[in-house]
Amino acid sequence: MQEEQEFIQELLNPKTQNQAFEKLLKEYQRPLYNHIRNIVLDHDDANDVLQNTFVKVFQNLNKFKGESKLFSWMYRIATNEALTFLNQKAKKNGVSSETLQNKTIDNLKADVYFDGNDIQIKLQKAIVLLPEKQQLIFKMKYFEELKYEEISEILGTSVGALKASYHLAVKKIEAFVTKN
Amino acid sequence: MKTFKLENEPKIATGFTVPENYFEDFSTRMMQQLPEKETKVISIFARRKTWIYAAAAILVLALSLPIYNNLYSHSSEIDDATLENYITYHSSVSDTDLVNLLDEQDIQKMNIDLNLEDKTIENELSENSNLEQYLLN
Repeated sequence: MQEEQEFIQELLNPKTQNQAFEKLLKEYQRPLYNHIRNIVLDHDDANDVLQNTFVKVFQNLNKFKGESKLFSWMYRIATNEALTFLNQKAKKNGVSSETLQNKTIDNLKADVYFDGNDIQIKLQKAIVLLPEKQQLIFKMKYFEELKYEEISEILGTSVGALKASYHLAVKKIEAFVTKN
Repeated sequence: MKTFKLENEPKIATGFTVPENYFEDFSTRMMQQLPEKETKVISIFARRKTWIYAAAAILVLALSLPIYNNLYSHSSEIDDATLENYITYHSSVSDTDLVNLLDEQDIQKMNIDLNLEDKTIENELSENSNLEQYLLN
């Protein structure tokens, strides 16, 4: 925590800011990209959202109160940016968020930045049927392998509720894949 | 049909990939973009500042209008020239009207005591023969 406070000071000091921000980028761009990509599914969209996320992080550094960890604060910004992006894209196309996601999944096979087979597609199709929060929890736990404590800090949900939600999500996904 | 169990399956990856050197390029691009984004923030702030100044200027002007009006338009003191012109060009005010407005005190005030001795007048008259002409007429 002490170390993080020092790092935040470096990020706020105009003299060390650029160097510190580069360090932040290098450390978080991969996990944040994965987190965003799991929500928006398309690489170009994920790239746009990741850029917006880091711009927001940079612009709001002085507002970061240190009440939460830098890590969970950045994940929260990324999650909000990704969900907002999805909703705006769905609105622009005049469809629901779920329809848009289904369409993106159908197009995954033709996506040059997707290297998967039927089971991946089926899994994605099962996830889309879940409520938004359950989707997030499942992706963060199963794909991103975050700890319940970390997910709890990011989403502001208790560990107990997260465990229950994840368990439910797994059951629904297993039922869907078995049936299809 | 075989029941699908996530925990019995080998871990399923997302299958999402990225272009070659994506992250290296991303951080470079991001770092180049940052100062630009920063100046953008400043410029928006500066523009907001100008608006604040403009609004303040308008406010000061608006507030000073009543003061200006009090100073010039509603002044109770009317200068003599304006008053004279008014009386001259408004024929409805006759000399009689004016005379009626004067009281004893005013007439006393108008009585100018030249305090001239007869001799002085005589001298003056003898020196300026044309004055006599005026007096006779």
